[in-house]
Amino acid sequence: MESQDLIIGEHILRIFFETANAKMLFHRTFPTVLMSFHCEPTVEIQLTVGYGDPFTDYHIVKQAIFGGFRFMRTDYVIEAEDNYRSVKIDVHDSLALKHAFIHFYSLLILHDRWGLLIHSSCIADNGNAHMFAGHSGAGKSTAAALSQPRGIIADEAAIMRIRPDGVSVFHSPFRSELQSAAAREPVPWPLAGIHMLYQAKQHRRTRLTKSEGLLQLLDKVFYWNPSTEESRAIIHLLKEAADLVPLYDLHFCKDPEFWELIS
Amino acid sequence: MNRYVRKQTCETLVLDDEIMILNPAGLTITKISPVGGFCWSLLSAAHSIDSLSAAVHEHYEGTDSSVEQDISEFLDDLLECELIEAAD
Repeated sequence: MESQDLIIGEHILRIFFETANAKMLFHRTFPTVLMSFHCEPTVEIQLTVGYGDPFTDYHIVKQAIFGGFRFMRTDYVIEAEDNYRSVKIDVHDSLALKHAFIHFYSLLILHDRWGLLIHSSCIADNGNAHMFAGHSGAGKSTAAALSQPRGIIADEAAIMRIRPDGVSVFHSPFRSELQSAAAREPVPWPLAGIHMLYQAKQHRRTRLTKSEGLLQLLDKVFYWNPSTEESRAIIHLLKEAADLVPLYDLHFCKDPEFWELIS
Repeated sequence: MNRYVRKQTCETLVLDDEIMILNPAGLTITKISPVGGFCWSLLSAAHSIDSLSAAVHEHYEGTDSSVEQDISEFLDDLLECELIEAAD
């Protein structure tokens, strides 16, 4: 069975493709994913294509299985050992593949207390990263597109590492559309600010208190049906991030001059 | 009189001078005022509206008679958010 090693965040994922079709679908779904060479994998994933039916809704069933968990949606199934080091993923199509990997990766990094996946875009600027979060339609992708030629570290799901000495983001292969403008260096980008986006007629940036920022970030985390312990871990990681990174409300109209408030 | 106590699973978070209560069972965070934070600290043991009101009167100078009503509403809010429970 053919395999390839990939880097996502600081994790080396060895993907075993059951068929050539699975490999083709993977690279079509994640065209900016970074390859790894000569490193021991931290996770092994067997990828199969052919599961279930097309996407209907986000409902996920979690089952305990021997030594781990199974997560099922109509269009994908994930079976993982309880330490998330050995995983089987079976998907219906490209959308299911993207969502299954976002799902699995969010499980992995929370399990390791490494960080969180945040529903946001992230832009590189002068060696730092700036995050733009908001509800659907708030303008995350628009802000990212307006920020070019700055590198786009993420346009949909930002990979955020949270440590006591700082918060960083990494190139995200989990993208919606802005594939070509990716900032693809496999390095941590120090996160200089988190912006909650609102479309407006004039640009305006307001600093949030840490608690306001934490509350606003809570529903931007990619996670499904967290257990009590997982909820506690999510909130503690967010608290650590809110303590270390300034948070703002950013009201912006659709032109790139909002960067004058940031840079 | 009814007495209340914090739910064991709840946790206090402090960010700068702001106090929040984490309820991991429902993935909720509740932000409370400084006086609410004082009452919350007391609710590690069982308290009634009267005993909390007396403690607030003693701790904060110049509190007026409406404090009992405020404490009652505060406890109702905490109950609704499932952060406290009946002590007895």
